[in-house]
Amino acid sequence: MMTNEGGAKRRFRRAFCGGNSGIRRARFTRELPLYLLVLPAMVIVGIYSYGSMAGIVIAFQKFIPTNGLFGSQWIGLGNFKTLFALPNFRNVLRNTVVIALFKMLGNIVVPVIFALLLNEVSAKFYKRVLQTMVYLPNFLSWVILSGIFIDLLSPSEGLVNRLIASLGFKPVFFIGDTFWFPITMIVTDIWKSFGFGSVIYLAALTSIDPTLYESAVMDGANRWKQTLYITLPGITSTIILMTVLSMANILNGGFDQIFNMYSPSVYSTGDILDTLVYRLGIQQTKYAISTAAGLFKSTVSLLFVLASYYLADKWAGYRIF
Amino acid sequence: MKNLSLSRRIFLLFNCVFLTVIALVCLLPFINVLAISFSSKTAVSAGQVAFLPVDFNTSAYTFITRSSAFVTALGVSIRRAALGVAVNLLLIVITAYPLSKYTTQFRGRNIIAWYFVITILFNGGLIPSYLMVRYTGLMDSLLALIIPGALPVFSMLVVMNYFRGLPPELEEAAYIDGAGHIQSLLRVVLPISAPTLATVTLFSFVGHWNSWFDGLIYMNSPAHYPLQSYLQTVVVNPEAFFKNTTNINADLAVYLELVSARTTNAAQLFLAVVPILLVYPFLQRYFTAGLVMGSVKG
Amino acid sequence: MKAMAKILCVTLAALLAASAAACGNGAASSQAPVSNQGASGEKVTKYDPPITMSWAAVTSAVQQFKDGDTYENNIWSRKYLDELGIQLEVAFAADGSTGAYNDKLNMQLAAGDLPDIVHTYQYELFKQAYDAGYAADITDVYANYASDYLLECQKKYPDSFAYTSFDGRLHGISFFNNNDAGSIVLWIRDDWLEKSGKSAPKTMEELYELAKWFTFNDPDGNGKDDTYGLGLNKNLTVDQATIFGLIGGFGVPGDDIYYRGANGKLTYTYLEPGMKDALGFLHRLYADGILDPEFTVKDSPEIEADIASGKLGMAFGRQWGTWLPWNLALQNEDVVSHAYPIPAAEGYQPKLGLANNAGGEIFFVNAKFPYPEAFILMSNVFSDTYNINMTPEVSAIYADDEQYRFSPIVLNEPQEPVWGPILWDAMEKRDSSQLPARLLNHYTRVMAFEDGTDRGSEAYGLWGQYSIGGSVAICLDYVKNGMTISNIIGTKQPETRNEYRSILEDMTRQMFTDIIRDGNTERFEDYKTSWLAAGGQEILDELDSLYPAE
Repeated sequence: MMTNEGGAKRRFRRAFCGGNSGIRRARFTRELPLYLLVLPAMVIVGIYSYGSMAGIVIAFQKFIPTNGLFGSQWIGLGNFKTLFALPNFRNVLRNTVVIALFKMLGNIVVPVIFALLLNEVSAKFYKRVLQTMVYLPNFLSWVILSGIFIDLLSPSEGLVNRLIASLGFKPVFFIGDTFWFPITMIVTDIWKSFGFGSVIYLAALTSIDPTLYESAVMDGANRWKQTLYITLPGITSTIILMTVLSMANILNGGFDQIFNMYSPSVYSTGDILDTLVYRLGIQQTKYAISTAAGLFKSTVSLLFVLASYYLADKWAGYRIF
Repeated sequence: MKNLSLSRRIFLLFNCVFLTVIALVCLLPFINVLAISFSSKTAVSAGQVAFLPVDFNTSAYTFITRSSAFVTALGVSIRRAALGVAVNLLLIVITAYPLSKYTTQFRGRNIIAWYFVITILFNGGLIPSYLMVRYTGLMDSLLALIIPGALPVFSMLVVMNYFRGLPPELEEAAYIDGAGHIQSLLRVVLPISAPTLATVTLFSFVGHWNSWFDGLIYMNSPAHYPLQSYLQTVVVNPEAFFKNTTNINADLAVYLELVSARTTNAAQLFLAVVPILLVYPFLQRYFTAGLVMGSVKG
Repeated sequence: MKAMAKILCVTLAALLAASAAACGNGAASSQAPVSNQGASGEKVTKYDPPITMSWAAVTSAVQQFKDGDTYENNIWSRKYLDELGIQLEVAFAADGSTGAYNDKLNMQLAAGDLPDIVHTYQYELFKQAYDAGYAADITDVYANYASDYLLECQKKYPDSFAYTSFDGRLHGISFFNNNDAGSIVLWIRDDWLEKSGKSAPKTMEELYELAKWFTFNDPDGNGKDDTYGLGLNKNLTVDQATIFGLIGGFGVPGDDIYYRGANGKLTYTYLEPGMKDALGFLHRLYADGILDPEFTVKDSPEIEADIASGKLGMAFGRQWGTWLPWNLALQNEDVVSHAYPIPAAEGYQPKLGLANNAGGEIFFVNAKFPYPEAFILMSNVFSDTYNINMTPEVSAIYADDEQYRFSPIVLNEPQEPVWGPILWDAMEKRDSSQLPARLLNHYTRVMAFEDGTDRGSEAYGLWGQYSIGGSVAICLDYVKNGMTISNIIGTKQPETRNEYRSILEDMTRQMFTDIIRDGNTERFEDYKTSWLAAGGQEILDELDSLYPAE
């Protein structure tokens, strides 16, 4: 198909000039390899992502497994009504948003500050070592980290509480106390991801024009003033961009983390939508209500994602592709 | 460097100390786990272990490596990561390349790109996904952990944007030399894409290594669980692992003086971290180039 | 061109490999050998050629594989293959204690992918499966194939059979039940009790004092403040160290039951007025550091660990406590523990709740399975071995180390309430000659533990239950003294309860945990109000019509 004698040059020109030759067939054969390349991924995504999206219909049914996806009785929004009427639903929604918002906030502020401070370090090797250390937690799973934190934060045996006790305070029950649980989730989440989150700001910092600093020094601006008037404005667009993009996480409380650390005694402040979906759907065979809860989450997230991409485009000129 | 003011010097000193403390905060939990895994059970339960082992011994490791469950799960994870990363990379590259073309070269490009992006935003949820894996007959096979997520869309977008950021002259030259798309991809694009490929390789590896939920749901026997799924059941119930191992291997009884559920748990957690520790520092230097060029569109 | 072709080939090959593997998998798991047996009028005794039957294994930490056995090939699978021509195939295996088994089974139900024989702990799942047409009607095969023993059981335990029947048709078999020995006792370590110089507590104040002594007087003598008086499970109402025994002392019949109260009105365990004082008492234990301060993260495994490591000296529990968790104290420190009746709080008549005799683990046949009679044949073989002819030798092969878990069907006849009196009679007379084979095993082991010749886990487990004055005797005494109340929910399951149960349980746990920690017992009134509002009243109303007062 590609052995057409037409000459590479012509083909190239056509390719780059938008195929105004009018020979559709030739154009199609030229593009065929590209289509073939994307085909495998399209098939797999078609089956597993779009195929399972069809399962959303369960949310509108009184789902009975034997009847299959389309054989069960349709009950409109009945499952959603049941879901919203659950006595703990409001609580769960509030927990999700609170935990997610604080994580979002922390995961912007802390990486920015860290990147600014790290940027002041001039010793290359030292910088590399610091980076290696702070990036590490990002690459470990919550299964592992929860195992570590449960041990570390235990009121009687954990290292942290031994430290607190040696300072003369009462041990704090970080993962068993309704007050401390969400705080622990937020802090450990920031701990896990702030290092890696700073990569993007470090990159933005390096792209600031060095001549700006030079002229600032000429004008007698001290380091603090330089940070305030050059560095921060230089990365503001990146900060806005990351803030806007993170809005999509408004209902992401962090299933892996919370599922592996929570217990019924902290449901009042620690139960989130995803854990509720799990308990309803898998533990209690309330498939339809669970799917409805999942769909509710997806829809709200989608609205936020669309809004955030719109804003990202408008404010930061960013497009995802 | 030379004419640093005093305040600047003080700042740099504090900054240095502060950053070191922060970095240590990131590292110390692991050191604590490591220390526990190498300590005796009495020292651990007496709360004597912080960052250095007390009564140094390796019994906890002997204990878990004799547990066939741990070793089997490790094997599953290694196979999963190897095959999974290979599949991910192949699909990422062959999908990202066409999509990095402009609509003038590839008319379907925008529609197809949306086709993929929508799947990040929306998914059918746990039960429908389970049904798809079941209908396609992947249940209880390693492929159930690999095929459904064979194309990590986010990584694909990163690579796609990286390809787009490459100077177009390079490919133009190749086309002029008579190369087709495939040759151009293989000979021109890939060789200069090491940073982005290294980054997404790491993401894929980490993703596969750390996944646990799919293992619990799609595997039909604990013997097929990957390491993290297995560890999840152990972390939930360390005492059970401990009892079980003690029951099965009578010859391990000699170690009971030294190990407890807590030390073996620590040893298992640490061993699960090791592969990440081995892989990631080597790929670290590519992050900035690989990630930033790929995510912020030029 | 060539390069592209190459890549394409690789991709296609990968895809093909994937789909080929997929097909292989699907075929292996869904196909049963075709055979006409059982379809004709003739009764099957053995399948030839053998048929395949899939089941799901509930794994446990205590279960062991003997001599290279696997889930597919073990003492029970070989027996079923030899005697019945049934080749067992494990659809999946998962841990029963971490929830993995239930989760997996529920996913399979959603996917319409249940194994041929299903074993579940959840009535809700059984009901869902029945509604979806998965639970085969086994009324006729039971009548035709059941052994005399099983037919006898059908007469002896009508409640259990009604439990798995819908409109008079049998759709499964549940454990045969008599729950008289199902209440709670107080377990205390002998050595600590002795050291304290106190006697076993008869009142809640005595319990408080003893627990306090256990907490602060260094009963293990290691010079460290690392012990506590009373264990409590974070889930409050599940598994080990529940609140049931303690609230029982305050006249609250534990075990999460519905019943007609003194005034004839339907009520629920935690609505009893004594609950408020019980929570106050729990808070007192908590505030004084006597209750494990970390109880809110401790599940059964952690409590077992505390007992194993000698940190916990006393906990309420079921009558099988010497099997788990108190066997751990024997294994690790050679310490024996005894069971005692629950203490009474001042001004209260102790009450204990019992499960209804209908209920328990359920086994049913997938309606798609073409050989429902195989399920009954298997039940016959199982009960012949396990329920009828259990000698110590048979037990060692088929039951010990939880070998019984390898059988897709396990039938349990009530043991304790029936066997206890028979054994005590023999023990008093020191004459075992009249005992049936299976009880001889028990007799021998209990006696061997008492005279110190057998300190093994089987002997200790049985001794704790069946020795004279042991836990079973205590439980049967509760019944004799009129201290027990049975759950009203038996064969007819209220829809509303299935609907609200999990939500109400979550709420109960959470509010009780809060009260135990902050001591604000006034919130108990809020609890009652919100429990009734969140579906509790609907359950009570439905029960009132399902089980009208006589």
